[in-house]
Amino acid sequence: MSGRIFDTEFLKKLDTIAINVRVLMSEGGGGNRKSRSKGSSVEFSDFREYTTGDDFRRIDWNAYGRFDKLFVKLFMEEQEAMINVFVDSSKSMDFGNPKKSEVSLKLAGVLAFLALNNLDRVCINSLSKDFFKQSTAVTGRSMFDSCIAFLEGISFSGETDINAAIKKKDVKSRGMSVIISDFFSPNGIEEAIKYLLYKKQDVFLIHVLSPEELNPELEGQVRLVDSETGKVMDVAVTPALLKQYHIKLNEFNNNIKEFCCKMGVSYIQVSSADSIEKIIFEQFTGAGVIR
Amino acid sequence: MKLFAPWALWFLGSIPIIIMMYILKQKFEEREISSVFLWQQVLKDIEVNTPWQKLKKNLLLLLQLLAAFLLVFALADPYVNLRGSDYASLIVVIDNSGSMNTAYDQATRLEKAKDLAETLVKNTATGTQITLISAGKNPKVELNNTVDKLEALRKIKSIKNTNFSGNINDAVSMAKAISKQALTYYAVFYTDSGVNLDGLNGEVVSVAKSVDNVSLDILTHTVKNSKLQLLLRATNYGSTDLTREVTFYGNENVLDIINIELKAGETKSILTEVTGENISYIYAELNEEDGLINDNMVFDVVKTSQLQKVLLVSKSNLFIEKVFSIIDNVELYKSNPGDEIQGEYDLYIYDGTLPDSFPKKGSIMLINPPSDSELAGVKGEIEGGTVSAMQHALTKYIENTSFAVSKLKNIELPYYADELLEIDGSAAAFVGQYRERKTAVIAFDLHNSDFVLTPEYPIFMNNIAGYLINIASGEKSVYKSGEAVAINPLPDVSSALIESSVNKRYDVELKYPILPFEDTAETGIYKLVQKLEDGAQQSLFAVNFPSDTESNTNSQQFSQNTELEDGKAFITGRRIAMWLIVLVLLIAAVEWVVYIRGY
Repeated sequence: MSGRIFDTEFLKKLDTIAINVRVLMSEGGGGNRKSRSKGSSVEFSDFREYTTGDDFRRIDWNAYGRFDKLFVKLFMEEQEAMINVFVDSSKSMDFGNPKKSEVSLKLAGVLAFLALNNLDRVCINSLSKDFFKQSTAVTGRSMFDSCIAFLEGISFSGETDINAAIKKKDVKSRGMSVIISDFFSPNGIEEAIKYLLYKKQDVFLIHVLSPEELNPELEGQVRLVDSETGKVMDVAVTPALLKQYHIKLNEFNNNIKEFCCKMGVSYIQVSSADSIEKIIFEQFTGAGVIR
Repeated sequence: MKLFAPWALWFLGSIPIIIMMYILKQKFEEREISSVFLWQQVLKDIEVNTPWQKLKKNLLLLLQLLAAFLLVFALADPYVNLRGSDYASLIVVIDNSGSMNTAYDQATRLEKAKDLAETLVKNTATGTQITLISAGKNPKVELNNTVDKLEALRKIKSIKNTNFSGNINDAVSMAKAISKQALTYYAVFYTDSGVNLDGLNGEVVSVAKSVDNVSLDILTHTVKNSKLQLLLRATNYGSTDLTREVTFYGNENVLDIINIELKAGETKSILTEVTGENISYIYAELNEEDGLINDNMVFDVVKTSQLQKVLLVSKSNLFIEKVFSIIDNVELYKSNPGDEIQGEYDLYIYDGTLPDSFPKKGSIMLINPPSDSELAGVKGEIEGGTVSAMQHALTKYIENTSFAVSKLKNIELPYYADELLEIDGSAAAFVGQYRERKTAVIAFDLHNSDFVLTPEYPIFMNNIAGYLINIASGEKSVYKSGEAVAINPLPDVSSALIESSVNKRYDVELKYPILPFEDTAETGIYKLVQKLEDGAQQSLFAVNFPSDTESNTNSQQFSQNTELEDGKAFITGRRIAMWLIVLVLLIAAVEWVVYIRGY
């Protein structure tokens, strides 16, 4: 992968994005990611009756004074979140003008940067065929470079069975899983999503399509060659056929969207021609991924 | 169905070529796309929704193949038989006699006949031998056994209307003769008169339709006290009573206008008297047009002949003196044999005598010539007998005469002469033109015969005088269209020409025998101009429409014929090449739509 994707300009942009995201976050009143489990942070969560074995330092004596019963204060436990970014590295992703792979890697980079900024742990996975290749899970801003290095090392070739590949990933802790793909997968992605949800993941799908896929500029007798499989298809492209294609594309997108909605999964569909800023500030926020 | 040009089927070879070109043309532009995943679904969907998709995919090819096939088929010139079978030979007879000028529904019968004949020829199988006969005055083969339809169509178009009287049945015998050359034939007659096919395989297409028609048949005149008495005969051939206005003209000036009331089918004669000076010709015209306009005018020539001088050289012959005294415009002079002849005469009659030498100019009549002369060789006298008249224009009205002659001169019929009277094989009277001089010889003395006592005598003498000298009564001046006009030039004429009623000029060839003038197709007044040494002499003759035979426009009389009700032509079949080409054009249009709309 060319290193130009993550050039200085992009890194500068990242800073701006991070600042802006922070602004958005403070407006939303949020802080770092909160775990559902109770812990030892300063943030009060609840009371419960004292049972044997509880840390008696946490007994609320004021409550004992009022109710004559021992209560323990429960506090939010602040936990670092695990963020898994899955990047489809099939050949089809290396297509389009601009290439889908480019925007996918950039988005992965942005997400990794934001996550690291947020003191979360980030693991980047490239999906290829029916397996995945993962980076080491890193935390701390200083590890961003290793993320970049991993992203730059991804090569796009072959086809990907997203279901099979993701199912091989043993997601241990709760967290967030982001799948960046064109989802042109014959077996669909339903199983992968269900698997991730089962693994208590917040799932976020970024559907990347190139302008050529959104609005194919074809006419006449065309032999379509599948970039992944090399499969050919002779098509006499007519306006009627193009119309049918658009119907099919909408149907395809809507199917995914509908499924996501049903499963409580965030979904955005981006064009590889869109700028990163636009995707982050309009679509990510729109989908509620960034608060 | 039959193909006229089966060789064109070789072009069917183009169909595999089209298919090959189509296959070759199917060079797809290769385009790499991310995934055919969606396209597969699209196509699968379309195929599921439209089971004819596979066919549709090749719709353009199919249309092209269909168009190519139809084109080749059209080239092969298919012919669909509608009825009957094909004939090797087609004989088309078109009547172009005068009555075919009758117009109805804005076209004349002849135009209709030609239209029908053209349709017939166009729809005739290619290769059929076409013979075209026009039946006017005489049947005329316009085209014999041609397979060239264009030529046949051209010939049909070129058939002109005439004013002639004709008998279509003459064409039947001609068609019969032609039909013998063909294995199978069919004859189609386009006419308005009755045809007796007489065993001929064919049909008669009648273009007759009853229309009103009044014809002016005859116009004659007599001059009385510088007044002209005109007699006009008109006939109403229509089925309704009509009143018509007739205008009489003299030299293009209106002389009189009268109304005639004619009942259906009635013939009426009208007499009127007009005054007019220096009238050389007269004509009558119906002021209203009717079905046949060619018979709406009738012409006559007013004869104004000069006084003719006749010298009779005879001892005494009362019979001759008397007979010439009743002939108009003749001045008779008498002289005794041997007297010196003073002056010039138009006719010299030598009765029983001969001059030493004949005068240089003028016609000669010898009666009972005593001896040999350059005009007639006399070989003595023979016994007479009963005289019979020969068939000749000058023996008109005396054909049945019978009189006796006691003796006559034995004269051998000269080479230049026509015999008029005969007694037991020897010539009793003859006329002829010897060295541009008109001559008549009567071989017996009138006193030796009872001829002079018969009513035929003055007629005979009048006829001979008319032939020898230019007297009005002698020459016929009114003809029917199509009739030949005998030209009798003056003895000292240097050149002559005839100017027709439509100002067409014909030179008369002054070579003996002079051929009659035949081109009397147009009705009207014709002019014969003879150039003489001292000026020119002009005489007129009139040509009228043969109304007696051609004016009957009432179609009832043809009911025995096949009358095609809607005037449809006899059609043996249809050539469908034109329709196929139209179909090809339609297919091309459909193909265009398919291509543009991208079905």
